[in-house]
Amino acid sequence: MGIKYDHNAVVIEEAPKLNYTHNYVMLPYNYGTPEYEARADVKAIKATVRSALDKLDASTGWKAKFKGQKILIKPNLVFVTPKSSYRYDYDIPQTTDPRVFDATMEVLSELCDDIVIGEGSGLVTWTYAKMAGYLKIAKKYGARFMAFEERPTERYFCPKAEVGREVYFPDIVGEVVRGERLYVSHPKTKCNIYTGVTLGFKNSMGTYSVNMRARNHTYEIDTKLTDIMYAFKPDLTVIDGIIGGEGNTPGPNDPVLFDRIICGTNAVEVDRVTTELMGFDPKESKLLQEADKKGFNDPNVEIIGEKRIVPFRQSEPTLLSERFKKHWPGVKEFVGYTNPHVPKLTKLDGIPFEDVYAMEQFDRGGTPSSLGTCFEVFYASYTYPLTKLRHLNVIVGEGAEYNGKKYWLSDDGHAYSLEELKALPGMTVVVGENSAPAKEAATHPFFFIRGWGEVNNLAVRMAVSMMPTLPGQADLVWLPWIGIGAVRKYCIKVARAAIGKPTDVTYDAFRDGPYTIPELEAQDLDVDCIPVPMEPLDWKGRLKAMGEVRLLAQFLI
Amino acid sequence: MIAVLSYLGCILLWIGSTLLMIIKKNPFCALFLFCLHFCELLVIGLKTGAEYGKKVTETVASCLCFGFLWWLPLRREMKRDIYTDDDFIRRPDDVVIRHD
Repeated sequence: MGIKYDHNAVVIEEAPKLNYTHNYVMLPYNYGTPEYEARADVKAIKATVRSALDKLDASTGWKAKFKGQKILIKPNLVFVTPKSSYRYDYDIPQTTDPRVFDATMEVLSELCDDIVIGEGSGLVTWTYAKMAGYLKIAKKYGARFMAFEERPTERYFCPKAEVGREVYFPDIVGEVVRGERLYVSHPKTKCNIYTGVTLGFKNSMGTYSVNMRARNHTYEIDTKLTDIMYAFKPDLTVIDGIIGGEGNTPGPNDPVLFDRIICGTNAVEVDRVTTELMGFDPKESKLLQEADKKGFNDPNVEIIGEKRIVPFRQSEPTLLSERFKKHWPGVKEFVGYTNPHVPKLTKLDGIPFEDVYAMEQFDRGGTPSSLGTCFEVFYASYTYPLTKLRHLNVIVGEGAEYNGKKYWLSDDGHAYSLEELKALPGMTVVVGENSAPAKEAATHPFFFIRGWGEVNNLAVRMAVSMMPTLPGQADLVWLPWIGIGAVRKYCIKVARAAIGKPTDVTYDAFRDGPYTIPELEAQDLDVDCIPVPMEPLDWKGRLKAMGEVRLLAQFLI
Repeated sequence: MIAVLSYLGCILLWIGSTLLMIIKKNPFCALFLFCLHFCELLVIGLKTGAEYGKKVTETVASCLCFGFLWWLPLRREMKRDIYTDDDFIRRPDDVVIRHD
C-alpha cells in the first residue's frame, strides 16, 4: 500500500521575490499559449517547483518510484472566489494556485501517463475546477479530472482507527487504498477554522464521500483526520506556499505573501515544517499530536532549506473573540455542555470568561467553527453594513447542568436558564443536534438547526436569520455555471443510484463516538484497512438512494 | 448580478420575439435580433472567440444567442489579463490587507 521510502525528506524552496498576485485563483484566458509561458511569475513558479522536486528526488529518489505508475493528484479546491465575489479588493486564496498546480503537473507528466486529478470540494467541484482552470490543466497534460462526489463509493474497515473505523471512499480513491495508484497531495498553505491549519494530510478530508465527512466532525475531528492515514497516506506532498491564506478558512480568508514551495515524502513531517513556517508551534497542533501518537511521523526526516517564518493570523473558531465582537456587536452566544471534557458549572453568576471560552471550545471541530465560517462569509458580503448591528442570539449545546437544571453560559458571566433564553430580545437561533433541549428558545422552529454537519442547512438558515445578508461565494458572472454544475452533479448522482452504484451513504452523523464495525478475525485486526464489498442494492434500495440525492443540496454539498 | 440579469433579459427577448413570430406572424423582431448578432459575430465575435481560445461552434452559438453580452466580458477579461514584466515586480504596497 503506497510507497515505502527508506529515507524521508522535506524541501523548502524559496521563490524569487516577484508579484504573484495576478491569477492566483483562476488561470488567465491565455493559459497554455507562449504569452502565458513567457510571464515572469509563471516562469519563476515553474522553476521553483521543479527545483524543489529535484532536490527532493536527490534525497529520497521519489521519481524512480513514480516512474510509470498511475497517479491520483488532489489539489485543495474549495471556493474559487475572485475579488468580485466579496467586498474585498483581492482574490480569496482558498484553492491551490492553478499556476503552481500546472508546474507540478508538468513534472509528474514527464514520469507518468495515467494521471487523475481528483477532488471533492464539498461544493460544485466540476464548476469550481472549470473556473480555476483545472479542466484546462487536465486537458493540457492528457490527464482526467474526476469530481469525487460523482463517483461510486466503496466501503472499507480500518480496525486500528479510533473513530473512523468504517469509511467510504470514491472508487478512484479506492484504487489508492488498494495500492493500485499513487497519491499526491497538493494543498495550499492555509489556516483552517476547524483544525488550525490545513495542509498535506488534512487535504485527504476531501477524499471521503460527502456524508462520511459529517461523521465525527466534532471535537474528534483531529482524530478522525489522522485515522484516514490507516487507509492511505500521500506518497508525495507538494504544498503551494506562493500565496498563503490566513484567517477563518473556509470562510473568506486573506492572502499572505509566503513565496515558497514545500514538498516532501512524509505528509506529517511536511505539515509540521509548514506549520512552523506559518508561525505556529507544531507541538500545539492537535492534528500533529494525533499523527505522532499513531506513528505516522518520521523523527529522522531530513529538512532541506531555510526555515524563514512568516506569521499567519490564526483562525478563530469562536463567537467570543474580540475580533468577532468588533465585527458583530449585535450577536451574542450562549453555550452549555454537560460532559467530562468541559468545566463543571459551580455558580450562575460571575463565571470567569476562561470557563465560558473552554465550554465553547470543547467542540472546536464542530459548531463554533461552522458558525465562525458562516459569519466570516456574512462579514465579507456586500451587505455586511446592513447586517452589522443585527441583534441575534445564538444558542449552542445541550446546556450545562447545575442543581439538576440546564443553563447556557454567556460572556457576561451569567448562566441563562431556558426561561431566560426564551425572554431574550431579538432573534434567536439554536444550533446543533445536541442543542435540542434549548429548541423552544428559537424564535421560530425553522431556526432550530439540527445537524450543523449539514453545512448547507446551517448556512442557509443562518443567512435567513441574518437577512438581508446576501452571501457571495462565486463571481456572479459564473453563477450560471454553478447552476449547471449542480444540475450536472444531481443527474450523475441520481443516475448512479439508479444503476445500483450510489455515490454516497445515508446521512447518519447524529452522534459522537466510533462507527462500529462487525467483529473481525484476528488476522484482519492486524491490518490497517480492509476492503468490504458493498451490499448489492435491490430496486427499493436504489429508489431510496435516488431519493436521498437532493437537488438543492447539490449547490453546497 | 447585472450579467446574470442581462442574460436572462436576452433569453426573454428571444422567447418574446419567437412568440411574436409564431402567434402574430411578425418575424421582424426575431430577424432583427438575429441580424444584429450575426453582424457582431462577423465583426468581432469570431475574432474574440479565437483569441480567447473558444471552439468555433461555441463562439457561433454564444454570439448568435447573446451578442455583446457574450463577447464584451471576454474582451474585458482579455484586456485585464494582459500583463507586462512591470506587473510582476514586487512592491511594498502589494497585499496584504488584514481584517483584524
